[in-house]
Amino acid sequence: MNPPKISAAQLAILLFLARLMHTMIFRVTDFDSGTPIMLGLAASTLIEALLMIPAAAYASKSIRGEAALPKPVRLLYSLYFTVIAGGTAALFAEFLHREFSGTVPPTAAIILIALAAGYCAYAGIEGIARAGAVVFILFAALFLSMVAVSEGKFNWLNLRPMTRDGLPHFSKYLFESLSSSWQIPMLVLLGSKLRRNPAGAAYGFLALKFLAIETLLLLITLVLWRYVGVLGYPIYALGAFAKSDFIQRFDPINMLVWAINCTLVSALYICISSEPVKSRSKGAVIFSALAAAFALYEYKRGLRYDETWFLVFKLLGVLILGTVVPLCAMAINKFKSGKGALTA
Amino acid sequence: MKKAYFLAAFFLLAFLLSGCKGSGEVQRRLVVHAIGVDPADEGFIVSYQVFAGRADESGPTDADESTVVTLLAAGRTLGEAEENLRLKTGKEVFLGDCELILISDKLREIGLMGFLDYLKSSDVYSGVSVAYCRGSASETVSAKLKQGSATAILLRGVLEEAIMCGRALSSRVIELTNALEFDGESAAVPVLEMTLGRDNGDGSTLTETDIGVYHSIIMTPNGCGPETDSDSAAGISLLKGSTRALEFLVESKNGSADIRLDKVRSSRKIRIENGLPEISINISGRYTVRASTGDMTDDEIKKLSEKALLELCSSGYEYISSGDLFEIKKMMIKYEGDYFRSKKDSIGEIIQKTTFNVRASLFKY
Repeated sequence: MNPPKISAAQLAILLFLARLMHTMIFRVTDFDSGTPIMLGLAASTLIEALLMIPAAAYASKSIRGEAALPKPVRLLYSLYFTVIAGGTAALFAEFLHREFSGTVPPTAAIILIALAAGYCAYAGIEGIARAGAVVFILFAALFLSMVAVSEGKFNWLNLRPMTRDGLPHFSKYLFESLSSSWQIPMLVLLGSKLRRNPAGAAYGFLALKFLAIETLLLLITLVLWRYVGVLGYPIYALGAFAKSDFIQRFDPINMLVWAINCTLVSALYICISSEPVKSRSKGAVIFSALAAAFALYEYKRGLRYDETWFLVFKLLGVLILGTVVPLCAMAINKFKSGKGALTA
Repeated sequence: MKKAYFLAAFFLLAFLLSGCKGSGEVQRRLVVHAIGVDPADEGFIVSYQVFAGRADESGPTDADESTVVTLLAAGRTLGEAEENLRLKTGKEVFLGDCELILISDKLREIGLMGFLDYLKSSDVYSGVSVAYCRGSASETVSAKLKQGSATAILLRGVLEEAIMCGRALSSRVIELTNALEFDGESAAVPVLEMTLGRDNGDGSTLTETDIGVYHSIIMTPNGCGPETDSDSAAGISLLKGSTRALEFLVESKNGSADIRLDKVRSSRKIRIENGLPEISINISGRYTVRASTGDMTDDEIKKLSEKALLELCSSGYEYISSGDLFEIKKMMIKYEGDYFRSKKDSIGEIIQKTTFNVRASLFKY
C-alpha cells in the first residue's frame, strides 16, 4: 500500500487552520489595536518566510525520500506538538468557560476534544486534510457573513501612522506572532506526506495567513477599536457588531466552527506526534492521552496565552525544530553523501 | 471497538455545541426587548419590556403590542435588579435580544460609565443603542402612542429615524465605550421625548401621545455636559463628519422650502495655524425640495440651503468646550503627531481653541 499523500493546497489549508486556531484563542484584555499590530504581523510574516526556507528545502528532500530524522530527534518533535495540542485544548476550554459558561464543563470539553481528536488522528492525515478543506470553507463563510452584516461603521481616524509610542506594541505582537509560527516545524514533518511542491504549500500558507489575519486586524481597528479588549477574543469580537434578520447572534455558529477546528487541529498535532509509534491506534491513544493530561494540568493551573514560559517554549521550538534541525539534517546528509562518493 | 470509540466521541462532542446542555424551555425565559432605567431612593427601578407570547400559540409569534409586557424590578445596581426580576418571576432573564436601553434623564448627573460597565459584562448585544428619555423611562417603555404600543422596535425606529435625518448621533454601546472610556472623547446621546396626548374633555381625543427626538445630552468621560437642541445636534454631526442625510427648512421673503439633503459627504482636514488647530471641512450633498411655498428660485434655495448648513455648524460649534466631541485629538494624533506630542499635557485646552473652516456645496437632485 502506498503511504498517504496530500496535496500542497491541502497542506497549506491545514497549516492555516492551525494558525487560525491560535488566533481564535488569542485572548486580549488590553489590546492596542491599530497600525503597530498590523505592521507587527507584516514583519513576522517576512521573518517566517525566511525561516520557512530550510523547512521547505527539507520537505522537498523528504518527498524524494532523501531525508529522515533520527528517532530521538523525532521524539522531540512529538513532545513539542503534544504540548502545543494540550495548550490549544486548555486555551479553548478557557474560551468555552468565559464565553459559554454552563454549556459544558471545561474539563469535560478537554476530554471530549482529546477523544475526538484521537479518533481523527487514527483515521490518518488524508482524512484530516479532507476535513480541513470543509472547515476552511465553513470558516470563510462565517468570516465573510460576519463582515457582510456588520452594523459597525469604519472610523478611518483609528488608522494612525506608526510612531515611537507604538514600538512596544509592535515588538510585543512580533514576538507573540513569531512564537505562534510552529507551522514551520509542522512543514518539516509533513513534507514526507506531500505529493509535491512543499514551497507552494509553505508560501501559500503564509499568504493565506497574512491576508486573513491582516484583514481581521484592519476590521478590528476600523470598527471595534479598543472595545475588542472588552470582548476578549478578536475573531469572536468580529461577531459583536454582526446582526441580521436571519441570524440575530453569531455566537453559536462561532462556537460550532471553533469546536470543529479545535478538534481538527488537535487531531493534526496528535497525528504528527504519534508517527514514531509503529501501531497507529496505539500512537493515537498514547498521544491524545498525553495531550489531554497536559491540557488538564495547564487549565487547572490557569494557563494564559501570553504566559512567558509558553511563548519562549513555542519560539524555541520554532527556531530549533523548524530551522536549525532541518539545516543540520541536510548538512549531515550532504556530508555523508559526499563521503560516500569519495569512498566509492 | 473502533465504532464504539467513534460513536462515543461523536455524541460527547455534540455537547460542545451551544445550547445542548444549557437549553431551556422558551416559557422559562424572559426575553427582554427593551430596558428602561429610573432612579429610586436607593439605586434604580428597572423596567423590562419582555416578550409574553403564549405557549399554546401555533407558529412563530412576533413581538407586538399584544405580546409585550413591562415588568419592574428594583435594585441598588442594574445587576441586582436583574437578579430580583429573576427571583420575582422564577424565569431566566435573557438580554441577548434587547433592542434599546433607555435611561431617565433624571439620572444624567451620574454619567454613563456605570451603565456601560454593566452592559459590557452582560449578554446584551454590543451594537444596541443607548438613549436618554425625558421623565420616566418606565412610562416611556410602556406608553400607548399614536403609532401603537411603545415596543422596542418602534422606539428604536424613532431613534434611528432621527439619526438618519441627521438630528441625532448614533450612540451604541461600542461607540459610547470607545469614545468615553478608551479615547476620552465626549458623546451626544439622544433624548426620546413623549408629547402627552390631550382630550377634549368629553372623552374624545384631541391629540394623541407622540414620541420623538428633539434634544441630545452631551456626556463626557467625567459625567454630564450640557443639553443641545436638534439643530445643534445636527451641527455636531456635520462637524464630526458623520451626517449622511439631513432635513431642514429655508425661508426668505419670497417663501419657504422644506429641504432634504442626501448623500452628504464631509471631508475633514486638520492643520496647525498660528500654533492652534484649524479644521477645514468641505460638505457636499444633493438636495431635494420636498415642499415649497411662494416663488423661490433654484439658485436662491441652493444658497439658502448652504447658508442653513453653515448656521447648523455654527450652532454645533458652540459645544466645542464640552470635551472632545469632534474627535479632534484623534485627528491630531493621525495628521499632526509631532504637534500632539508637544502639546499632550494641555490638549484639553487646545481642543477648546480649535477653529473650524466650513464650506458647503450642494447640488439639486
